Amino acid sequence: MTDEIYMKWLYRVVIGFLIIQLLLYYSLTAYYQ
Amino acid sequence: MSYIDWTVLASSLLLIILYGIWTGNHKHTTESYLRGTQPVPWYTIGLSVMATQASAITFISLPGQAFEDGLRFIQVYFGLPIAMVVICATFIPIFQSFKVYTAYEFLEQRFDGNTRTLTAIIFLVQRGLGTGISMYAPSLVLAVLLGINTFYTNIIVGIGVALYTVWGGTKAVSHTHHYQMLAVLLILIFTGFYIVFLLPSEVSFADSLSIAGALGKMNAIDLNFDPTGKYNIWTGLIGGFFLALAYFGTDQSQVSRYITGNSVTESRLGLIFNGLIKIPMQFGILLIGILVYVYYIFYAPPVYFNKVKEKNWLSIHNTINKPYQDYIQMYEARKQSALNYANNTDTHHKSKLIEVNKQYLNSKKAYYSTLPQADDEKDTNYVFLRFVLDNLPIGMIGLLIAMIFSASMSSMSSGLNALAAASLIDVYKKSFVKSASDGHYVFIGRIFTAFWGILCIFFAEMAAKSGSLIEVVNVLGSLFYGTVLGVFLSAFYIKYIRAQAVFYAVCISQCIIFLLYIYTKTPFLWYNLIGAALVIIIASTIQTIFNILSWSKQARMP
Repeated sequence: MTDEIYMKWLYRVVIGFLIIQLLLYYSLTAYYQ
Repeated sequence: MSYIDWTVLASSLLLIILYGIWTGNHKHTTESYLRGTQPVPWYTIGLSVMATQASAITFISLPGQAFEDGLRFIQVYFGLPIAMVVICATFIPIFQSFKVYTAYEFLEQRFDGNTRTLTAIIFLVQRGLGTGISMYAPSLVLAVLLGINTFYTNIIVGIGVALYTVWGGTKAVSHTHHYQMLAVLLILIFTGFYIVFLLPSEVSFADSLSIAGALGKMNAIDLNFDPTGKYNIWTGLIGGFFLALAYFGTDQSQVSRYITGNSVTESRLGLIFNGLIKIPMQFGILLIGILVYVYYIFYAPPVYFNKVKEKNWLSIHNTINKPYQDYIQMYEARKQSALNYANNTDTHHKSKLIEVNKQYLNSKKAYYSTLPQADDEKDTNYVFLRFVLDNLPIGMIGLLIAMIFSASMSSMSSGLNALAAASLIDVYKKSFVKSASDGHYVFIGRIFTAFWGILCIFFAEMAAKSGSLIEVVNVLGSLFYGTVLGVFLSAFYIKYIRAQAVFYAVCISQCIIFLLYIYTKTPFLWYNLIGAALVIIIASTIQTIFNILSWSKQARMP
């Protein structure tokens, strides 16, 4: 059960990191356009 | 290449091969040969999963892709982290609970033997072609280094990898991956810094990004939804998600990486690690391609990056040729304009640089049209390799080439191992010899590895005629992955669908995908979604028809 809760948090970290990256790459594209 | 580089190259490769043989020098059982017996820690699984995907193609072709097309290829990987989460949450627990050697064994338990064999055959065809293409990349490096035809280097590489796989088994592959990935990443980071060091003193890292940006190479994200566009955020997030889901969730070469984990948590952590690291890593490699692009703005690029082609070009080259002189003149003008922009990054200098670049590209096109075999796309694959050979310090060239080689050897041996595993378990053991000693199956597994090694050499010869390797390998995967994914998704989530319906659906869907590929210009990433959706929809429809027929038959019975 502890493992499951721990994994759910990790999934959130992965998706959160993806969103941060998308924002970063979008800013990069917009900045150099 | 200097003799120091040759020594570094030879000794590094020898070490890796000996290590593979040494770690694999144990008595194998079928289980240890194909799956590994000891629990594997999460970081080994993670690195192994990454290294399986990162073949020589990644290191050779990806910087070339950025050099040619900018950063937009990064969007292909946007769906990957989401796919990792879905695989961790649903696929891994199912595979582990069924205690299967190959992903296709699960299909037999859920559907029937025919579905399992059909899916395994689709995998074998696709992975055989894919491994063959991967094999072409190191053959290409060897051909350039030795100045011989890729026909011979394909054979050398093919035999080498087959021996490595037969003697080492999965465990050895897994261990070597671990060190290679770290070595490759370290060398690539060094290369990135070194390119910045090689640029003219007045051009900083930030300036080089500004120059690349002005010339349209910093196009990491395209928000426009264009159904015919190959790379935009939508194809990346949706098509890329299905591609990654199919590749990591159903491709035996990947599934075997994390089935070795023997623990659900370790396997999940390994994939989560991959989901976190993959995009930044690919972005870094693409960025190196951008820096190489900027480097060749300030230092004259060769007319052909492929040295063999360049040699042919030199034999017919004439410096007083008018288009050539125009091309050189425009190159110098662009270089000056880029320097001006680096010194003063205002809109005036930016538009001037864009204008001069247009003229440069026109003059380049005009000159190349006068050359034989002018529009050879494959030259893109040589860009990074040529840069490395011409510019990196002595010793480092040998080391990087050795690492690119070993990375591809591991990737190919995983491919060969997966092909052998699927041939042995899903075809031979299931349809021919159902019960025999472990020794017999290990022996047959090795025969299959050798067989696929030889077949991959032929596929590698075919790859010699294809375009940008990183694109070709993804296009090829996308043609088959959607259908296979559809079967697994039906198995996991739609209990309603039964064996016969899914069998027909796979056959019909695969034909439709081929027809779409031949007759339409659908961007390849969408095939993953279309294939999976087709299987689910067609299988559900057929199942409904079967059910209605069966009900009406029952109703007619007295």
